[in-house]
Amino acid sequence: MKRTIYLFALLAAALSEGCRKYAELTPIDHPAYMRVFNDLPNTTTALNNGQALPFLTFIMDPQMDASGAPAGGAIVGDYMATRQLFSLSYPINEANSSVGVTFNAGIGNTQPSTYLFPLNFEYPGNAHVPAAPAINGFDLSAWAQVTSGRHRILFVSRPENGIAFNNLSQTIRSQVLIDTTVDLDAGEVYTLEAVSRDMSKPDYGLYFRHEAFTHESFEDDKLYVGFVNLSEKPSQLVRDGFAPAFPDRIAISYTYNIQNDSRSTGSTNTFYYPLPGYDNINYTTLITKMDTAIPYLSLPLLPNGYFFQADTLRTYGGINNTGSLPFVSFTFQDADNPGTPFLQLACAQNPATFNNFDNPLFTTANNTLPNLNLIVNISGQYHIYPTLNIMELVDNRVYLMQVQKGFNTLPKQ
Amino acid sequence: MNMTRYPLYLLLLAAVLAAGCVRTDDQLKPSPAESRSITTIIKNNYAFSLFYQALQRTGLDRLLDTAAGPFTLLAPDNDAFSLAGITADSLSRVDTATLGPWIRYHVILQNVPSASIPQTIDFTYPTLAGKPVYFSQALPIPGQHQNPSPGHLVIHVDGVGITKADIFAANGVIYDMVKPLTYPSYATVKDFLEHTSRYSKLTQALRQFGLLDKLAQPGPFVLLAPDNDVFDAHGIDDATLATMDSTHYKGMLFTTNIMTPNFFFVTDLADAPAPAGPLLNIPLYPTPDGMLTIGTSGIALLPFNYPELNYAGENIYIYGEQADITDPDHLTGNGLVQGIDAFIVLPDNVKK
Repeated sequence: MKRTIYLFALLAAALSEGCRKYAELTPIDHPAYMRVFNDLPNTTTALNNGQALPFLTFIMDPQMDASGAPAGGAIVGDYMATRQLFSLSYPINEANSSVGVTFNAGIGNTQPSTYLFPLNFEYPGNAHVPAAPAINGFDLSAWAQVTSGRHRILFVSRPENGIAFNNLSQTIRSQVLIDTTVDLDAGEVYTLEAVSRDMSKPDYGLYFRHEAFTHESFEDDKLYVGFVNLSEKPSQLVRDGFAPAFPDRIAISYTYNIQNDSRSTGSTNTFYYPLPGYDNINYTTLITKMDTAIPYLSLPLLPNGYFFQADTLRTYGGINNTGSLPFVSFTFQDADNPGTPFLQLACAQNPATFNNFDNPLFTTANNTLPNLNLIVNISGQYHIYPTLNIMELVDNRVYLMQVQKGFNTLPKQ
Repeated sequence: MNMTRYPLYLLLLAAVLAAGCVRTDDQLKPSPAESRSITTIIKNNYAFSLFYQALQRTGLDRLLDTAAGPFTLLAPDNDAFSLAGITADSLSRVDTATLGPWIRYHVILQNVPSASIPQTIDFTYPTLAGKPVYFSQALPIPGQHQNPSPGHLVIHVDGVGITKADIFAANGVIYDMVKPLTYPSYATVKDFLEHTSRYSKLTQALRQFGLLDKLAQPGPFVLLAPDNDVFDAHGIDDATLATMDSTHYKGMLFTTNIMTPNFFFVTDLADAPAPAGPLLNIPLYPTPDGMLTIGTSGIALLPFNYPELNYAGENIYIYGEQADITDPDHLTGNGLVQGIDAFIVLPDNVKK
């Protein structure tokens, strides 16, 4: 009998050993937290063959082959397309495939397109890696754990096809755009972005931001918005006024809009009044580029009553309207040539559909972003969460990174 | 049954189960390697008989078989020679001193299958002739889902299309070309102009306006070159040309024809189109004196305020004519000459 037990134990051991399919991830001691974007807005053209194809492979701590070309590394973020205009602090596409992504590439597209090669809009994105914990009340699960310390960072321009980086030719793997070194401290949060510095010639660099919001104190009932200008040195076409791009000095003002229910008669015939004290208020003038310290504008988190009409949640904006939910709008002007706003941006859209269907690069809604109030349905009840928002201005685009505040508590009603 | 065998059976069963559970990746069978050499493939395919004849005359057939490879052969087939107006007879009459560098220009000194080419325009690879060839692979544009799309590989070499890519051989790869490449025998754009009679008037004009020597500098340049017929059509004969004094014209006359630092074959305008400017849906190229609209549909110089002029219903072609590239892609060591069929700036329109 005893022998039979031993045999079954042996059998169980053999079975469990034979069936182990994947190695467990090794926990990272004292990790830092990192998120990587590709911010490159332009591509090479026949009339400006200075720029590279903005489709990248991100490599941390690369290993080089005999020819000196990178051939893998400690972390490889492959198929990195130019980032989406809106990104959250948690990976909304977690476990989704990188293939068959529906996305609008830019101006000229009239319908969402499905890409047949893998496409990632950030690292880690949907990669299966350990993520950052909640820090300072922020959900940071879109940041990956990485070993702290000094790391070499490469960005390589790669073709848009389905060939994994390591299988690309040595010629292609040698197309290194950015080669730099960063120091990551344990427990700190970093955002890395591949940026172009000049529209007219190949001049690329890493925008490396040590996120300070994990150390700052924020009020529970406030929305926060910060701005940074990551635009390139403009080309002659921009200087001559034939192509749009943010000016070097940007004056920013804002208005908090509340729907005037008595005057509004439909989704396309809406009127708004400004929240008292928040009517076209001058906020700041951005006079430098590539700033890594971001001051935040605070705005009130309105009571729940503003978001409902007869117990029904008000609506987000659509293609040609800004909906009935409260929303903040920003006006961007050239501080050196005031009078005509460069961009009036209404933060009124639905975050769930914005990247795929409301892409402002091509639709008529070319001056909108998702609402700064994050509306989450928990157990059948809507909750309005405050957020911290970082708007990164790149040429003619505004990339919004929205970080949910106090995700582990229910917001005050 | 012998009870002592149970443990053995159980162990055997465990081993079978355990082995059955071990997952290994499926292994694809590697495709059989091509055993024939580049020369053998070309020799055995009648469609390449003219090119093989040229390889034989220049001794490259033996070189490709004996020298250390791998190579990439840009091989125009017989239809390609025919398209270029070259027959077996005319090819046989080309002396070997001329034929040698021309055919060697079709041999790249490395293995370049299409998947190994960077997705960009005018990426250079060295050739056996010592001068590089320029590979352009079409870039994705908005609305283009996959590029290269299946079955529609868009690659150009020196602006010449490819009938079939990736004909693999034991010592390299062959591309079946739509046309033979043109050997860039001139070191500079200036050299090309001085040795090309159909551009003699433009050459003289550039000399008189102090611009010709600039075209011997490193560049790169794209010269939009009106030929002698354009000058003749506007009544500018040699005598009239000799009397043209650069001080009597605004500086934009002829300087607008020189684009620098630029380098593009005509096919690059479609492979990597620049974003369209306002109004005309044509890419814009800024010059000090106006906006050059330059695309596959033509070239013109417009004043900076052309949108306003157009809205007011006024003529926007105040400087010259709309030109087409009719004599494309003359490659030199410091740029390209793109022959055009009109003056983008008419001398009479820019007299001081």
